[in-house]
Formats: sequence, structure tokens, C-alpha cells
Amino acid sequence: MVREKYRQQLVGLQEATVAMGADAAQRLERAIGLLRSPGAEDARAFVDEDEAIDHQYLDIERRCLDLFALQQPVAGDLRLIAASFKISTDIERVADLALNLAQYAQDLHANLQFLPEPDGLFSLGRQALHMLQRAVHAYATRDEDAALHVIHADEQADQLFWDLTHTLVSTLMNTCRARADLPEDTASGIVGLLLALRDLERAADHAVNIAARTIYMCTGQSSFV
Amino acid sequence: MVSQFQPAGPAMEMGTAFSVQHLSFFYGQERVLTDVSLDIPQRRITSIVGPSGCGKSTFLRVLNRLYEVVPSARAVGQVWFEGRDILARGTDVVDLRRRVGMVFQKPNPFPKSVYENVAYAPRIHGVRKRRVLYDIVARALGQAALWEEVHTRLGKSAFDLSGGQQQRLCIARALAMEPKVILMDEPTSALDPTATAKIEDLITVLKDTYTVVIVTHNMQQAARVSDLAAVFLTGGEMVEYDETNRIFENPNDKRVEDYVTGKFG
Repeated sequence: MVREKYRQQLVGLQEATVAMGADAAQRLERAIGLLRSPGAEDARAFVDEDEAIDHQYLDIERRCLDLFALQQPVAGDLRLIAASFKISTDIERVADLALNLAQYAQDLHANLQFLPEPDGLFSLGRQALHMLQRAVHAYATRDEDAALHVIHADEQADQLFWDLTHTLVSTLMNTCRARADLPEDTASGIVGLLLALRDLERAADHAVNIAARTIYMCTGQSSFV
Repeated sequence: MVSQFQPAGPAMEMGTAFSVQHLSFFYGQERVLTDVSLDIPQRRITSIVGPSGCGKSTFLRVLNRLYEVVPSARAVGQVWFEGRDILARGTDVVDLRRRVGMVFQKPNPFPKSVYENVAYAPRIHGVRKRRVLYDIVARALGQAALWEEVHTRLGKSAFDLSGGQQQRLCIARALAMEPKVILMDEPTSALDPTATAKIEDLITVLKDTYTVVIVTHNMQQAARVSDLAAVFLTGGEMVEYDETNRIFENPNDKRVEDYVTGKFG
């Protein structure tokens, strides 16, 4: 009975982490949607929901600490708990980034004009979201190949991020050269876009972390961590 | 004392205490160890873990031929120690056991004083001078982290000591003969957590000087104290032998994974 309860606790931990990952992915998707259509929903809902994500995070942390302290797990069980402990932190950070994006979506939308091809921003968003969803799925199904795919996909996200960043910095520099007084709304608009790009790129990085911990969970190899 | 177990340059790697090769073991017709081969390194702690009846205590008893007290017991294979196969005919088992000491599950001090428990073996091996004996006793009790607690009552009965102290006295008794190897068969299973912690601390100190082989049912103890772990499973088969952290974090064998995580055994 005791061991059966332990096994149920392990399953429960994994399910709770997957559920949290799905919630964070949904928030990221909605935040990206707000960048495109700022009036789609009230961004204040994100603030209220963030508390729920924090509770999920603390619940997972508590489950992990209890399992470490009371069950002294080893081998595959140890790796599942250690991976879940770290992955929940990455998921919580993604939820925070989604909150950031949602909060400045209104301003960002107005400043998309500074990007010659605004769709690049949404491409990066889609890439980050896809990587996150795939990483959480890989963790849920213990699929190390899918996790490896996420890690490789980060190259594309990085490239998009640097291309867009370079474009915005060039715009900023050119504006500075053309005018002695840089308009405040131009400066803040471009900086806001740079922050959004950084948040999306960070979300992709957290997806990579989740994938790396999944590979560790499946194989014991920590070379990607 | 001149031991027959002098290094003779056998085909053993430097730093190997025991080289066990194709060891099988039988009680009558019953096979309890099956073709076990492993090298046990010097001055490291090697734990032997596995479910009840897997042959781990028998394996330990092969290493100083203590199994011979059972008439139907029979070992097949080779166990190289200091240049000789200790399973071979003509092995001086008294000398072997002097060099390979044993500590058992329950503390088993002699019904004598603390001092006499430690002095007993050196004395029957010919040490007569009182000063030399005292030095041996003091050194062994010191190495067993017991001197500070008992040096004012060396003449008292060993049975007056606590369980943990009695077990450390038994370790001191083994150390008095300056062995190369200490075998420990579940040395803390009869002790409370505090006494267990003291013994575990002691074991980790002892490895600076001695080779330690420990049989334990306690997975966490094996994980805490040992450098290497050998996992035996039912049928007396050794299914995995590796660095301890590897065994407990990422074992190769699915059966070991299942055993250490409690899915069977």
C-alpha cells in the first residue's frame, strides 16, 4: 500500500507539472494574441491568473520536497522528481513572461510600425509557443527524441530574435542620425519592442530548459542542461 | 608474524584488493551465487546490496572463507587477494582472517573487559609485552572513534557499553590485528539512528587506511557511505557493479532500476 501511494504521488506530480505547463502555454498563446489584437481580452485577467500559476508552482515544489524527504527516491524516480522540480520553475517563468507581454501589448501594438515586417515578431512568438508546447508534451510522454527536437529548434528562434533585434537597433540608430532630438515615443516604442522580443526569446529558452531536463529524466544524461 | 599473503605480482590491477573471478557458491545442491566476477578496489568502500536471499552475506563470507563453518558449503571459482587465490587448497585461513576482518550484524563483544576485547586477538597471535598491547588497544579504540568514550573504563565489562559503542568496540577488535580489509555485514541494522550515524562516519574515515566491503539492506546507507555498489539479485547473480552515484541515479539494468526504486524485491 505504501509503495502504491508513492507511485500515485509520482504520477500526480507529473500530471500537475503537465497541467501547469499547459496553462502557461495557453497564457503565452493568449499574450501573443494580444500583441496582434490588443482588445481581444482584458489584460488585467492575466494578473489575477498569475496567482493561480504561482499556487501551482508552490504545490509542485511542496510535492517534490515531500517526496525527497519522505521517500528518498533513487534512479528513474529521482530523475523524475528532480526534473519536475526544475521544470516547474521554467514554466513559472514563462507564465511571468506572458504576463509581461500582456501588460504592454496595447503599447506594443501601436509601435509595430517600427518593424518593417511586423509578422517577424509573431513568428518568434509562434516559434516560442510551439517549442514550449512540444517540450511539455515530451516531458508528459517521456519522449527524449521530441525533447531533442525542441533543443535544435532553438537555433531558429535565436536567429529570428537577432534579426529582429538588429532591425530595431538599426532603426533606432538611423533615427538618431537623422534627427538631433530623438522623439520620446519612438525611443520608448522601439525599446518596448526590444523587450517583447527578449521576452519571447526567453520563453523559447525556458522551453529548451524543459526539454533538457526531460532528456535527463529519460536517460540520465545532463549534457544539455 | 609473517603472512603468506605477500604481494606476488599477480595479474591484478594496481589498487585492487580482491579480484573475484567466476565465483559460484553452493550450500549442498543449492546454488546461492552464480558466476560472480568483480574487482574490489583498495581503500574504497564497496557496498553489496540486494534483496533477502540474494547471496550478499554469503559473498562477504567467501572473502575471508568464513563459510567453511558450514559443512555443506562449497565455493567454485577464484578469489585473488594479495597475489593468491584464497579459495585454493593450502590457504592459511587463520592468517587470511587476520588480514580480512569481519564485523557482524549485532554487536558481539566477548564477555570480557573493554580492554581485553581488543587485546584478545593480538595476545593469542603472540604479543606479550604489556606496553605493546596497551598501544595496540589505544590505537584500535582511537581508530574506532571510541577511545575518548571508554579510556577511563577500560577494565569495565564490554556489556556495560551502549549498543553503538559495543559495535565500535567490535570494529576496534577487528582493527587491532591491522587488517587490510574490513568486511561489514549489516553493521548498523541493530542500532538507532544516532549510533548508525557514528558508525557511518567511522566507515568513511576507515577507508583512508582500509578497504571496506559492506553488506547492507539499507539503500540509503549504501548511497551515503559507499564509493562503489554491487547489486545482487535473486539467484545470486550480480547484475550491476558501478560507482554508487551511478547505481542510484541512473542504473543500466532495468532489474536494478526496479529493485532500487522498490518496484520489486
